[in-house]
Amino acid sequence: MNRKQDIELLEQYLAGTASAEELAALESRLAEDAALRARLVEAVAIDAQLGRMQFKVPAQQRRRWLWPSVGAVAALLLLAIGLWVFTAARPTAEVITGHVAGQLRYGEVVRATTATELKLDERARVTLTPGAALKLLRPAEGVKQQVSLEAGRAAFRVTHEPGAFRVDTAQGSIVTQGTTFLVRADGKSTLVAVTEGRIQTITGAGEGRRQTVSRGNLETLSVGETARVRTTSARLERVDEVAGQIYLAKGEGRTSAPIRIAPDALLLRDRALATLAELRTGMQLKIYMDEAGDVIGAVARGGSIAGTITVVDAAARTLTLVSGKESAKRTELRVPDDAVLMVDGQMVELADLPRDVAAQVQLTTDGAAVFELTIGRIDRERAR
Amino acid sequence: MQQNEPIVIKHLLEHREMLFAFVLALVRDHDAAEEIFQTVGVKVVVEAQRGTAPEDFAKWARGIARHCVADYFRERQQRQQVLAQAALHERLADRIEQAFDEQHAAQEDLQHRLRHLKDCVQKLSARAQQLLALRYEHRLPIDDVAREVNWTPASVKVALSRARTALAECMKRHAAAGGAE
Repeated sequence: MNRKQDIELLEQYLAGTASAEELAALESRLAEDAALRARLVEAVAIDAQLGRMQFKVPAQQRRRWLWPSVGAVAALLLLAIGLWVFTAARPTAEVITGHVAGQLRYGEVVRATTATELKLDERARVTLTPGAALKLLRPAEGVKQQVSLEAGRAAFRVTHEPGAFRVDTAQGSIVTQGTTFLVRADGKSTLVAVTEGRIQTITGAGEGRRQTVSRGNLETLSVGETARVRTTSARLERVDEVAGQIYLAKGEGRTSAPIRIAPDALLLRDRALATLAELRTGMQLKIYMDEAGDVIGAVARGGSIAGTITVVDAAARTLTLVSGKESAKRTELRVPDDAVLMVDGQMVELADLPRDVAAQVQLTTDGAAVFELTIGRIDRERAR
Repeated sequence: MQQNEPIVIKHLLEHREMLFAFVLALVRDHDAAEEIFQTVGVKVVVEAQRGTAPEDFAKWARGIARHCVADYFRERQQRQQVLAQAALHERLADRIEQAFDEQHAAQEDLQHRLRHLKDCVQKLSARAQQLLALRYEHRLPIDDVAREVNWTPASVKVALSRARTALAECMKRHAAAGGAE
């Protein structure tokens, strides 16, 4: 293979367009050619820098190339300008259901009076609950699509594509390339729940404080020294669906006063979105409360157990945990595909879990499966 | 135990550009690489707080980065796509890691050259700069870049490859001339 072919392989790989055969050929060439390996490092280092660079190329120049450069014919130029104005002002969002159907323009605000679904290009679907207000914003540098959630609750389903999709609120932004998440904003606080993949939150002005939130988690965006959202964790004692209230265990057999659940609160059970009816007595709850003390979000998990892993059946996706010394208790647990298994801070596959090692297991809310299993270095050393 | 933390953070800052490039080489998606790189940073600091003091920071951090990349694909349920060619991807990742290991000594030189990248971009033709802007700033796939400029995807690939080669040569000249070119 000659140098030109090598470079073509490298370019295909870096562009993400290499076939399996080309990947195999590149791997083989990289194994035998140190100069090609050096070229790979240089090329990708340049790519990395280019990806963080702001280019000073006027947008109009980009548009101009869409039309044939057949000379400065005035009529064509006028037509081109007309087309540019048309395409630049073209509505990019469409109200599908639940509201006055029609297309939206940049800067326009949709105020949902009933459950309303919007389609943003072909990439994103947004479902607004009654009372929510969403504004369509023009794309900005580095952001392919963006909206502003002025108030209420919105569920976003964004197809994974290059280019960021951003949701702005009064407290910051939520950025993703494509995933499923919900946002609740009330002007004083923003809460985001991730039900697929992960998103990034940016709190505050400018570059702000960035945080990654993964599936099954809630996160608040708050600015200023005083947190607008308070959190507390406790065992769920009782649910009053009719009144929209919950009661938490306070220890020594005592129960908290009723705590109101906001109608548009974000509730997660394990890693999925849940309704109040799906929360059960005994679940461990982490609740997020607004200034009035109402619950605006909650995450329900199962209890925790600690023990020694004695059996791992990767095919059946189960493991057995033994706890206690004298009267050892054996607990067999399912290990769902999305269970998080951490060993020394690294995620591992079920088949790679070490045996005869102490582990801490957080259970799913049904108590029969692993939600998250952690083996720390200390636990491993103890097991030796 | 926590006395390692400032040292590790210092190493992380020193090596951040090449560590990010390593992640990018594995995922080939700039936004994904940014996201993964943040996770790598957090894990590196957590390890430092636990008292881990690696002899070869760059190599150790690349090991963490490979795990984070694997987690990233797993979480996006791309596992099945990847599984079909898991062994091949693993071998390719080994080669990429080998490449970065070998370039470790030359890393300072490469980072020095990269400081001239911005100047060199401005020396490219307007059209080459336009292609770079569409590809790297607007993050368009090659096919979309081709549609934007009314070229074929193959022509765009060749033009981008030539632009990168021109940039690499320009950076070398600048670096050799002490940036005075």
